[in-house]
Amino acid sequence: MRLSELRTGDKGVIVKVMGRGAFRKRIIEMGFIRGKEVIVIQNAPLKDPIHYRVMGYDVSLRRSDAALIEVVSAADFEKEQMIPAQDTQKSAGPSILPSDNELQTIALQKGKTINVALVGNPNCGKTSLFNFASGAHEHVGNYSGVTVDAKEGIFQQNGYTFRIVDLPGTYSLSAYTPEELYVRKHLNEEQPDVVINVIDASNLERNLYLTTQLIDMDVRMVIALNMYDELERHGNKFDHESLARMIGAPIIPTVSKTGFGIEELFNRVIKVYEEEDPVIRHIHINYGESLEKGISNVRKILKNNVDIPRSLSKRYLSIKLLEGDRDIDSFIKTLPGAETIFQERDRNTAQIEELLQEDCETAFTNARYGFISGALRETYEQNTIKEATSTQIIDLFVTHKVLGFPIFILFMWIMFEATFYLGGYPMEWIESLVEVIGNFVRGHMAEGPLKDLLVDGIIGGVGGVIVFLPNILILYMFISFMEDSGYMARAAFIMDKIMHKMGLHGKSFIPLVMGFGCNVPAIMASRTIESRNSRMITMLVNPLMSCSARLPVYVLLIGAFFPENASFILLALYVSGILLAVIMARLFKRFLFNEEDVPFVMELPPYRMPTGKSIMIHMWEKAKQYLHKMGGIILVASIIIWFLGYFPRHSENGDQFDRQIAEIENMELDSQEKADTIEELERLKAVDHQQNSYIGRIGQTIQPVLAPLGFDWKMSVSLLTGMAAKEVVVSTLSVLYTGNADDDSQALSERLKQDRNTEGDLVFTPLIAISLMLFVLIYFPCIATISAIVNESGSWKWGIFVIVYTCVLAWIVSFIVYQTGNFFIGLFG
Amino acid sequence: MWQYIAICIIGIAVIGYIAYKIYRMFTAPKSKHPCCGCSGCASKKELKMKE
Ligand SMILES: Nc1nc2c(ncn2[C@@H]2O[C@H](COP(=O)(O)OP(=O)(O)OP(=O)(O)O)[C@@H](O)[C@H]2O)c(=O)[nH]1
Ligand SMILES: [Mg+2]
Repeated sequence: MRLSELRTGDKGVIVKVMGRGAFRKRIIEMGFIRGKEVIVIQNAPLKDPIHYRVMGYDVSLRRSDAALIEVVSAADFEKEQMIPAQDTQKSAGPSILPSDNELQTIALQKGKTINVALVGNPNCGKTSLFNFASGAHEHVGNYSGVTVDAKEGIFQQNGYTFRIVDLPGTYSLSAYTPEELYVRKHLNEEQPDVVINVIDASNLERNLYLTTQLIDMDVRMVIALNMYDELERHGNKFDHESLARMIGAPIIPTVSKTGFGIEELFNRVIKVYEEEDPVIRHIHINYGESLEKGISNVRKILKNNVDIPRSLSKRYLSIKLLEGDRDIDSFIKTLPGAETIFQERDRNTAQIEELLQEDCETAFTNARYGFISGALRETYEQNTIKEATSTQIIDLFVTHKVLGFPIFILFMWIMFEATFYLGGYPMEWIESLVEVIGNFVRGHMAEGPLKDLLVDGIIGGVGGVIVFLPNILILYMFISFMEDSGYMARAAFIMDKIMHKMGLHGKSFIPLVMGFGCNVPAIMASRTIESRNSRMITMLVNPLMSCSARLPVYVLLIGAFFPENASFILLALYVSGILLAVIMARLFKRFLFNEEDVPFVMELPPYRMPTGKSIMIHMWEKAKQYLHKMGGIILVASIIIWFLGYFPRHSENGDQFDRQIAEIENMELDSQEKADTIEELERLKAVDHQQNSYIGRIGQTIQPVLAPLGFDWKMSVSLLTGMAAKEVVVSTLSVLYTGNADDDSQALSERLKQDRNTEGDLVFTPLIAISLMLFVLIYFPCIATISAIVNESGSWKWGIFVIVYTCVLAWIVSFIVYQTGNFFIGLFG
Repeated sequence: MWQYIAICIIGIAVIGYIAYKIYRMFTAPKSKHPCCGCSGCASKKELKMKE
């Protein structure tokens, strides 16, 4: 509970004082210390200030300031007592008022919870640190912008409870990108007790820039000098202790991959929290004469304005005002007296710009870098013997103008080879396991609808999809290797040119490649793109990236019709997706988002060998998700499809077939001929039954639309059900293509190859398979993707737009492919 | 016969499950979560953590 929420006459015990350094210090000096009792003398609603008594003195505090003091009150105490009271009835008496001592113990306990925020540049290892400390398994990748949301974790150390929040990486705290705003908002609203500023030791100058801004904000901070192993490996010398004293924040070397230094880091956080750290102090970065004069002028005006909460640093506000920070501007605008503040600001900005001949914001940036390089000159010594690092050598080839692209294609090729052929072995094992289970049920159950449901619906439907788990895991292994090693950023780099043709920049490539895994996180990852235009285009074309849910369809059809050229076809499908994305992006850019883009620099992190463990975690998570999906949506869909295909049981045609069969049985024929005729009639009966089932009717209704693409009604239905999730296409095919009645144990791919329609023609040809795969690639992204797009774009319009454009595009592409293919087959065949 | 009863029960269970999912889709607190109860992807875990 916050102190401002206590009513007149209430009593509370202080837990902690939040807020920035100087403000806290003043409040604490007034007597607001942990464990001390406060009594509210008068707290009238809407009235400022509030009067309190603490340590025998009367003090008044502004409401906004009191909101930054956490207390426990009798009400809190009661709440806490309620919980145990409910399960042990005997202790529940009339609620007892807490004694002062009890409140004090609670306050002391609560005061031992420290809220920590992790702030730092992208890719400096924040999430690795977070995972190590809290035991979580958040996504880590060797490129910028992996984390796009705040993640919270809780753990204990030395009797303290830490609530740590992992934030997205940012280069600065100006208000330009969504992440920057996000981090700033978090710092302002959540008021973490201590900020851990994670900096990448192999890139000090750039990382310290953010540090200077945190210093301006006057937050209590501990610096984690992460990737210390790399600093040492390069033989650079860094006197971090001197730098810590210089900037007034403790610096602890850490290696968050191995956990080195993390315990000490949090011990240091405790010290800072308890105000026992010898190093911590608030410093002012000296921005040089002209800027400092401007700051002090604006600050004077701000000081005179009574409406600005004391918890905000006036110096920080002045700096931000002079920088022309939009966010702060709009905050000031809400205050009375904003006019005079802006007048003073404008006067000083003009003066500074006149004096320095550069715009004010640049002047501040330069001054910060000046401060950093000055500080580093005294403490940092770069190893002068520059050996070519392995990163440079690898990059020589991988980002080469000519070689880079073939290498990328080669990598993709290897990825698909492995996915298809390596995945083939475990796939066979699972297949035979499914078969064994199927045969067991078939052999041990009495005939009846439940048996049919189990064998054809559930085992057929779910079993048909589950066999692709190994393929998906292998694909994921490659994608996580790409992410963790740093190759992803290179791929983005060499794709930059193509991306520019699309009207996007290289950075958009990362969400696109992530889309190969799953479109939903990929769409969320597009948050790191600064320009709204590029972000929207990236989101809209992302569904064209073939996600792993579509892989089962490909593996099934390619395994059936193109086993010799598997990787080639797979690669071709993925490339078609990319090409279509390029074309669509250009169209969108031209007609929907034709504004100029902000320029952007793609950075290349050094290569890092991914640990086996992190890849295993990725794959394990994926396997869990896949199995979960099997037990959920795929299972349900398979059951529904079976029901729709099984009923209605009786039809006129069916009876007619039965009569014919009976007739033939009574006829005088030789037994071989008889058996053959009956078999043919049984087949026709089954086909007829399926066509007249509910699902058959649905399929035949929509089939005319899809017939020009070469699809029969079963494929049409599969595409319809596949809207729930693309794997359902496979389970539907598996339930519908039942194959010969007497040979139950056929693999699905065999059944597809042999299925004939009533005229006795094959329903599947290689050309139809290609047409179908393309359609599956392009049409209707799954529901989860749609809602991700709706959420990220903030409007239903775009979700509907994506549905429409993908379906239309899928139809057009499949139509062209099937019809031209047919034309050539007719010409040469 | 009992097999017919069994599949009826399964059928009703499935319909109930779907109805529940759809109901959840509309009534679930409109947290920023995009998945609508789909468990297909990585973001499901985050949803759980937030709850
Ligand atoms: N050598 C070395 N590598 C590290 C260390 N800490 C993290 N890494 C690697 O650095 C890369 C980035 O790690 P992340 O934890 O994803 O970085 P992040 O700061 O969360 O990145 P964003 O979420 O994009 O802001 C990963 O490949 C890690 O394996 C370290 O101390 N030493
Ligand atoms: Mg991260």
